[in-house]
Amino acid sequence: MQELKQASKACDACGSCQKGDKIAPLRRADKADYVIALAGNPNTGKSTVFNALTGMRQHVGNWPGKTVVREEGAFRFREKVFRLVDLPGTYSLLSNSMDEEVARDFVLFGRPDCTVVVVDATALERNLALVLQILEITENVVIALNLMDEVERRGIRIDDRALARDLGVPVVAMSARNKKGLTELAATVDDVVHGLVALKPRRIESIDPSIDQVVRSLVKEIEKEYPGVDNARWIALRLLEGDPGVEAEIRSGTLGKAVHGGLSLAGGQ
Amino acid sequence: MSATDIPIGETACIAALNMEAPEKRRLMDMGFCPGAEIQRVLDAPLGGTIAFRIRGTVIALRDEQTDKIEVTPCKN
Ligand SMILES: Nc1nc2c(ncn2[C@@H]2O[C@H](COP(=O)(O)OP(=O)(O)OP(=O)(O)O)[C@@H](O)[C@H]2O)c(=O)[nH]1
Ligand SMILES: [Mg+2]
Repeated sequence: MQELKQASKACDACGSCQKGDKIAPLRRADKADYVIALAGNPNTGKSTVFNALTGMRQHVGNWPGKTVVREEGAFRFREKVFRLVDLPGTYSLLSNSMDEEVARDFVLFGRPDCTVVVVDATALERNLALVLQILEITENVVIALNLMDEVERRGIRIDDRALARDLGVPVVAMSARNKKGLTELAATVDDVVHGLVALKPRRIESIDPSIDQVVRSLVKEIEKEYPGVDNARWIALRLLEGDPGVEAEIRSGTLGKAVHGGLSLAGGQ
Repeated sequence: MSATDIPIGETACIAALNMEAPEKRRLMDMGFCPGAEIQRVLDAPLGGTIAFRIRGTVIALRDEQTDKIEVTPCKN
C-alpha cells in the first residue's frame, strides 16, 4: 500500500503522466500496437525493467552477460498494447560477439517504434557511448536513467534536464529495482511513439566532406543491391571501416537475419 | 610506458592503442580510448591479469593487452 501511494505520488509529479495511468502486464500479446526495444550496456537493469513492465521473470543478477537471447513480453498502457523486447547488454553497436550481435541486429533492423536505452546512472560517461551510437541511427529514443537510488546514496548529482537537452531525447530518472519511475517511463515511451515529443538526437556533424562523399555513394550502391534495407549508412560506414563480420554478412545476405530473415528478404536476391 | 607498468593504485592516461582493428575496437568499446583515465586497482593473485577502474567500472585485462596500451601521466 505504502508503495502504491508513493507510486501515485511520483505519477502526479511527472509531467507526462496523467491521472489513472496504469501499466497492465499482459500474459500474451498476439497483436501489439507498438514494439519497444530495451537496449543498454551489460548489467544496467534492462531485465529488471522488462520484468516490472511485463510481469515476466527474466534472469536478473549482479553480473554482466545474463541475457543472451532476445526475450519478448507485453503490457497494456493507455489502451494500447506494447510489445517489449529485452536485449542482451552491449557496450557498442560495433562489436561482434554473438549476444551483442543479437542486440545490434534488433536495434538496427528490428524496426522498433521506440528504443529505450537503460543506462547505469552511476557510470554515465561509460554508458553514453552506446547512447550516442544509437542516436546516430534512430531518433525515437528514450533514456532510462536507472539506479538513481544508488546515485543518491553515493551523493552523485545528475542534471537530468540538461542531459535531455544535450542529447535531444527524453530522459527518465528511475530506480527499476524499487519500482520507481516505471509509469513515467511508459508515459514517455507512449508520448514518443505518438509523436508528442520534439526529438533532436545529438549527432556527429563534423564528418570530413571527402569521407561523406564516399559514404553517400556506397549508400547508393547498398540500396540498389538491397532495396528497402534499413540503416544503409551504418552498413556503409562499417564496410569502409573494414569490419570483417559485417562484410561477410553483406556477402552472404545474412545481416540482420536473426530479426527478419536477412538482407535477401529485404529485397535483394 | 605501457599500462602494465602503472604502479598499483596509480592513475595514468591512455596515449595510444598499439594493436590491430578487432582488438582495438573491442578495447575502445569498453572505454579504453586515447585520453581516457585508467587506475590500476587490482592484480590477479597469480599474475597475468590486471584490473583497471575506467569510467566508473572495473575491467580486467590480460598482460598481452595491457602491454600494448601506451600511457602517459595525465595532464592537470
Ligand atoms: N540499486 C539498484 N539496482 C538495480 C536497479 N535496477 C536493477 N538493479 C540491479 O542491477 C543488477 C542487474 O540487473 P539486470 O536487470 O539483470 O540487468 P541487465 O541489464 O538485464 O543485465 P544483462 O542482461 O546481463 O545485460 C541486478 O542485481 C538488479 O537487481 C536499480 O534501480 N537500483
Ligand atoms: Mg538482462
